[in-house]
Amino acid sequence: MWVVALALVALALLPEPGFACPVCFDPNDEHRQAFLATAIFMTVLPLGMVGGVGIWLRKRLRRLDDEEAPPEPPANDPS
Amino acid sequence: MAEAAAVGAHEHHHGPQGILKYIWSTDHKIIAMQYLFTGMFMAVIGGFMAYVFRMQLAFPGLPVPGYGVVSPGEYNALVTNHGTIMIFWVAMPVLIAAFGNFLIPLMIGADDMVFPRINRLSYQVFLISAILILVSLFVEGGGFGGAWTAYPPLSSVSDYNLTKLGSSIWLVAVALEFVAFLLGGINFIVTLMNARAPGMKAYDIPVVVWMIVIASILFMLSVGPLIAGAVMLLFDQTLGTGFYDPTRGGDPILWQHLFWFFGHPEVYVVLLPALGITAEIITTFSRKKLFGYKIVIFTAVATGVLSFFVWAHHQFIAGIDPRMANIFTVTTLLISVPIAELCFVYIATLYGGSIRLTTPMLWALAFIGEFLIGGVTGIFLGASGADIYFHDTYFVLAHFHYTFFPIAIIGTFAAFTYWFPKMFGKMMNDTLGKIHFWGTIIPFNFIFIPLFVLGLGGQHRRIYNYQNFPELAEMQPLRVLATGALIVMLVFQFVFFWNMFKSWRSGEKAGKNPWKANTLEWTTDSPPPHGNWPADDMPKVYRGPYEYSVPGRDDDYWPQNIPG
Amino acid sequence: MSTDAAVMQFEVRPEPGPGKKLLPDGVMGMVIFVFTEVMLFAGLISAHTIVRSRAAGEMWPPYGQPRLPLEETAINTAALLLSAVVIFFAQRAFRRGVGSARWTFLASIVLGIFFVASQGMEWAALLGEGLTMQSSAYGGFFYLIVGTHALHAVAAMLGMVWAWLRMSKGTLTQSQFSTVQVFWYFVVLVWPVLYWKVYL
Repeated sequence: MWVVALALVALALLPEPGFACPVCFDPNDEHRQAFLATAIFMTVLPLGMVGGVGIWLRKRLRRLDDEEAPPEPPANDPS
Repeated sequence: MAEAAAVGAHEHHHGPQGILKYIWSTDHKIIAMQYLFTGMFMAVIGGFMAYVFRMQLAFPGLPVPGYGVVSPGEYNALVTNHGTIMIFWVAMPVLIAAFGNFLIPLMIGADDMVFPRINRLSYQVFLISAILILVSLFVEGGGFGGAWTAYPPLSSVSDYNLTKLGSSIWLVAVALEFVAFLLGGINFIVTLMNARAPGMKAYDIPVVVWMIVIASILFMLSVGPLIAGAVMLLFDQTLGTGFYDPTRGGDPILWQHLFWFFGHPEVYVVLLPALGITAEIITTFSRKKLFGYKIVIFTAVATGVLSFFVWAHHQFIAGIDPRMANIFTVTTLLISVPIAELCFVYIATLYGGSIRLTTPMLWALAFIGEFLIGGVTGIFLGASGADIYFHDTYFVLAHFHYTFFPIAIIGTFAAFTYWFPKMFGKMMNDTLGKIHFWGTIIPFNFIFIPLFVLGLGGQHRRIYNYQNFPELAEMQPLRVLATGALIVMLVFQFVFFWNMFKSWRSGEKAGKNPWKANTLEWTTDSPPPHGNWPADDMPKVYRGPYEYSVPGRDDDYWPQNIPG
Repeated sequence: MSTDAAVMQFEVRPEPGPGKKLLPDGVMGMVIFVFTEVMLFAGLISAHTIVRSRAAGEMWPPYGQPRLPLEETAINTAALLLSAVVIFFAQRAFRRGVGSARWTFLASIVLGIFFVASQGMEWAALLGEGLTMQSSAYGGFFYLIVGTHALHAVAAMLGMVWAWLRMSKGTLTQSQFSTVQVFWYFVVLVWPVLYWKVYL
């Protein structure tokens, strides 16, 4: 996993901007950053929401299961 | 659950009677049929549009039989609306709405959707949107011609697109269509979570239901930004705001940002149901357990997650930071891994099975083969360097037709021929089915392989007449070949319609379970009655959906609802 | 594959009991709908961020455009947040079957209506000062984002009035109340983000 992360970081940082590249030197750097920031924001938000609700529902399912079967002895999960 | 089902069935019987039953029904099967036939009708229109503009490309300037001379503006409107209709009014309603509505309650053992009236509303909104998109073709100025991606400023300034009314109606129709699928998607997800038959655990759910629901979740999460963008575009068109106008502080690239945030997950929204349909058919006709059920589910989830990380590859040459393009190249190539994995899983399922080459099985196998070509050619486009050359050429066009045609047409025919006995209680004619299959698959390759060659030769998209480009004009025979193949393919569709009507009228009667399949929909009558099963005899689930050829059993299948 | 190994794969399952619902249908559906709505506002805010960043170094609000009323809106924001707190207590009272739930719920609705009404008056004042959708991207985004939120607030008000009428008749169910409540929480909680991005 960290190899992938490292590769992504390297790919993001290593390339030199080309001198013929019209978008490498945006005079308005804040504008370029805004695209990047909102891209990350819009991508992470839905995954975070669904992931969060998924985990919460899982916990709730466990709790409902526990309520349903109370006579079961606490076998191996004291923590 | 049993009481709830009984109450539900009781309520259903007070529904409208007579002809009203079919247009004002809350029954999920009837709504599925409404979606299916509306989608088919729109497919015929979309196919006719393809015929007209392909004829113009092959024989520029000559009158097209059945249409007349195509003007440049009409050509743009035809191309735009062909794309829009085929994606939003054919692929989505048929694959997700029609088969989702038909299959989800039947496959999970529910008597209906959780919100039947919202379901009905969903279809009604969809029908209005379909009427609107057709109306937009005939208003003053003609239909919208700014390509289905509707980039501003061409789409936002009526002085540029010359279709003031058409472009606004087009936009409203697309937005309404999203609302319809939003309502449907909520229904699918909640129904799967809350209305499963007793005993059906997460890993007993058939793959196609999982896939449709994962696709619905993807749709729900990705559509919001596009609706925001569409409202802004509509305001630019009608109220004179300047959201996409750089001279007034707006930003035209912003539309691409919002549109492709939805646009790329959308590919997976339609792909996943088709993959699920294929999984059902392949297991049934190779009489084998699905290879790696859990892997398929997790892979689908991984595809869904990754699909949110690839969308900026549509903007490689639109002026995004090349360092950002690098990252999106990596993620774009990564997403081919789970899809390739699914293809291998299906091949592994086939391996060593006792394969029966029925019509649905042929379609399913063709889906895998043809989709692979689409996937492999996508690698070239996903690499930001190669994309500079390929961008906006016929290579792109042939690539996404090699993905969308298998998804929307091959996948639909696979599903339709497989579930036709359950939908109408009659078997389809296998010989006619196979004639139709070969008559579709062979011309399909003859349409789009020439287009790959044309794209590599530098032919750019959305051009009315290539005769004015000397170096492109000499490739005219390839264009004529593609158009000829298209006409052959369209002619063979009459075989399908003939087969459908003939089988429906006088086909051999299908029993409850003609394919000897395991999933729950095959345990009820064909066609299923109101409420799907008798209210006091709803199915219970004892095992997973793919227990074929279990050693030690007399039958080579083991339905989910049979105990022991 | 030997027969023994194959048979061992199949656990013998007990007779299944009735299915469980993790959340009531309505609440579940509303949660999914709210996700879509969150993404809608995420799209609007992203668009606003990008367009605003274009004007970096220049004036924001642009020259000649009125400044938004921060203080009055802060009071509105407080009323809206208070409404969410009140509906929380209304729900607790309603679950216990306390008769006062009706009046607590009504207080929450009144706070919501106060928010919508004073936002409307603010709009009227701003229109008078020359801030329109066409006057600048600044004005366009203000009316677009705040207007979308206002539309949601009005829809939520209608839903809450409907729920209140049913509560008065005694036909409101717990899950119906929770469904309306989830939507109202969404409308309330998205507002501070909009206030931060659009007003500040």
